[in-house]
Amino acid sequence: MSSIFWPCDVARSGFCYGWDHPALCVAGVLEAEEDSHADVLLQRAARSAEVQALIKICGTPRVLGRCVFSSFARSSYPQPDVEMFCGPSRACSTAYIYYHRHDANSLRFYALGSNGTRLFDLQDEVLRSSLKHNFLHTALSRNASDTGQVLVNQWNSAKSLEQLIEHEQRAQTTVIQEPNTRFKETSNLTAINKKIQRTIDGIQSSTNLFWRVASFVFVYSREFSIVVQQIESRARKLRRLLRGVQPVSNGDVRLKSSQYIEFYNTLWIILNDLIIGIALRQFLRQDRQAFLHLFKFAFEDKAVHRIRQILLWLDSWPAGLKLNTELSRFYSHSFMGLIALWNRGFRTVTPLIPMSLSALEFGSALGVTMALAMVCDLVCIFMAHVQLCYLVSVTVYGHLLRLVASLWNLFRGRRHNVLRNRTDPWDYDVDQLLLGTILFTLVAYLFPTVLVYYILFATMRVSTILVYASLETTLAFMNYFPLFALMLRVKDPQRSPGGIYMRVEPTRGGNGVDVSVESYTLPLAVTFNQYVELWKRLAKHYHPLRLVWYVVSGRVLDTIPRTCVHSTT
Amino acid sequence: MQRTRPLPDCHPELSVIEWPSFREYRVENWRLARDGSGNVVRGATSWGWIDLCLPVVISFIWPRFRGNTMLWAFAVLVVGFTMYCRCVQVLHESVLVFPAYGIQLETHRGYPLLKPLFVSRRFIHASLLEDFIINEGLRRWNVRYYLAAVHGSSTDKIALDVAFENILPHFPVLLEVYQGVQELMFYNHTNNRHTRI
Repeated sequence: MSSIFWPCDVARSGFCYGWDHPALCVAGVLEAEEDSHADVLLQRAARSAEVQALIKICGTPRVLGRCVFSSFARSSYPQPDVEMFCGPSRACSTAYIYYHRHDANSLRFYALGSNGTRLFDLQDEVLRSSLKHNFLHTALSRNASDTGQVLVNQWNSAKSLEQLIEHEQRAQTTVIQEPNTRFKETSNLTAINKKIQRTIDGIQSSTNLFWRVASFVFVYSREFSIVVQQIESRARKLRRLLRGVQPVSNGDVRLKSSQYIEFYNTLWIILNDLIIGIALRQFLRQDRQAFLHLFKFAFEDKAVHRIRQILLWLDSWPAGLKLNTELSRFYSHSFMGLIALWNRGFRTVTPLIPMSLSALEFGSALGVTMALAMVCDLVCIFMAHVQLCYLVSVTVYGHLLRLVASLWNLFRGRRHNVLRNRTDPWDYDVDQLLLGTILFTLVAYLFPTVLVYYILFATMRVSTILVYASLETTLAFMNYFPLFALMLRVKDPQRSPGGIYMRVEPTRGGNGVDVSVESYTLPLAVTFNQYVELWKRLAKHYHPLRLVWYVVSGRVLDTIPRTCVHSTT
Repeated sequence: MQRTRPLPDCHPELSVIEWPSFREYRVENWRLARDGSGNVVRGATSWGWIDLCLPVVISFIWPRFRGNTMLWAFAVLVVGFTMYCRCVQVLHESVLVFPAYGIQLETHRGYPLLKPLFVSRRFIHASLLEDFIINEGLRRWNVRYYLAAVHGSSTDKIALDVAFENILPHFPVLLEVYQGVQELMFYNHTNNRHTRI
């Protein structure tokens, strides 16, 4: 019951050639007088470099047999009468499975693909081994797993093999023009790319003081400033664009297609970015005055005066709570002093606000991602006073909390054993216990005050972090959206295949069926794979419960480190 | 093309169809009643009594619909939903066995009196197919059997794909399909023993 893979678009008589391992797969038909002529032609074609590359992934093509087509075609697929030279001799009619021969330039191909698991992933080792082990079957070596991929490679390269053989048949001596010209312009771009690489290497290895200071500043500011990170990632993308125009040796359509898609995806994202950025810039320019007003007065009122009012309220028995007067006064005065200092700095910087707004406009002309990055940094800068007060209060609160934990151990008669990382029973001396009691009364009287001030600044810090997190999330999503891949799915699904299936259709004659190999598109989950990964990282860092736990336990809240986000490229 | 029913007495919904390049094990979405009376219990019906109630209900509510677009939209949604439910019933599911190439699990859905409208297919190449097994599933106090194709993917993860996922026929049907697939896919005639392709 074995069948032959026949290309859909071949309907000539002659000698059919193709591969006979792992399955009988016909690549095309040669019109020749005798099979020895066809053999000679194949041997001649096999000497060229491209066919050698093809042979490496598909296997050696041979003349398989002779085929004759009847004059009337009753079905939409060709039905040849084939007489095969190899394989078991059959007296009955052979069955055909049809496949599409895609042109190499069209970037369509079949892929066996990881079809995605439907039920569940069996990660558990025990379960896996129990499924693999089967007492009835003898285990063969894993060579068999390649046959599917080899067959798919054969289908993908059938058309290019035919073109190469025809080219050989016409025995042209001139090389095909097209790759030559493309090679010339790519050589220009690769030269530019090499020059950039050399300058970067030169800067990194130079001993010149200026360059060393500059690179140090760059590396250091990368940790703090989103704008610098954004500039760096955009520069890296542009460099990859320059590199991505290289030609790839024919043979691996999958690699070529993925390079193509990546190149155009980056290009589209950047262009989209610029377009939306320019639109945003227009919007900012038109409502410039409103933005200035909004920023200056609303900000000063909310971020400075409100905090002062709240601090004053906390100082004078808030909601009837009797806080420690001296400590509370000290706290509120010092925080108000910090904020007043910052306010004075802000006042001197106020004339520069229109300039920063113009900088924002300029940034948005470079892309909306740059504008978002600038807004992120501005949020950071203008909330610096809250950050400072938060750091002070979280340190005090954290220390007090650790003191309480240690005193709790003291009163239970236990001690933390650092060597074994556990608490062991321990006999304390009387004076140690006395000291502990004194400290405990101190802490018991001061803790509510510290707690109240800490709650204030912790809530402000959490809200700032949430705003910052949402901005960063939007930025990350805009940087890595798989726009081109989505459009390709809609436009030409055969260029992003997710797997193959056999389509069984009844023939027009009514009796039999035609079986053809088709490919279905990549599922959305695979296209958005990087996105999901990024989202998981962001969600893990900015998880609300994690933030609450950090607030309660007195740990410092920070923004997501740079390597977490940018290593997904 | 040759069509046989290997279990005509108890499970006539299973039919084996021999095509030139593959063999199809088709299970249709009906069964015989289990009390032995020989009645046919259909899984996919073309009409039911509720379809007659729907026009009656609409004719009662219609005078009130005149002015209200929201209710009208809701009614259209309900009618559309019932029609959609009727048109995506499972007609039959099959396992196509291409010897030496692989197996394909198919589900055909549509309206019961017409040709299938939607077909979902899943092809597993022979090199990826590790095994074709009957698994025991425990659901509450029952044991249910199902056919599963164990296959690896390119990322070296093992996964299971259930054959006849929606109909879930009973054990004799599963045994028949299991034996057929094992014979075609895993039996090496020259060595006369079971191997993997």
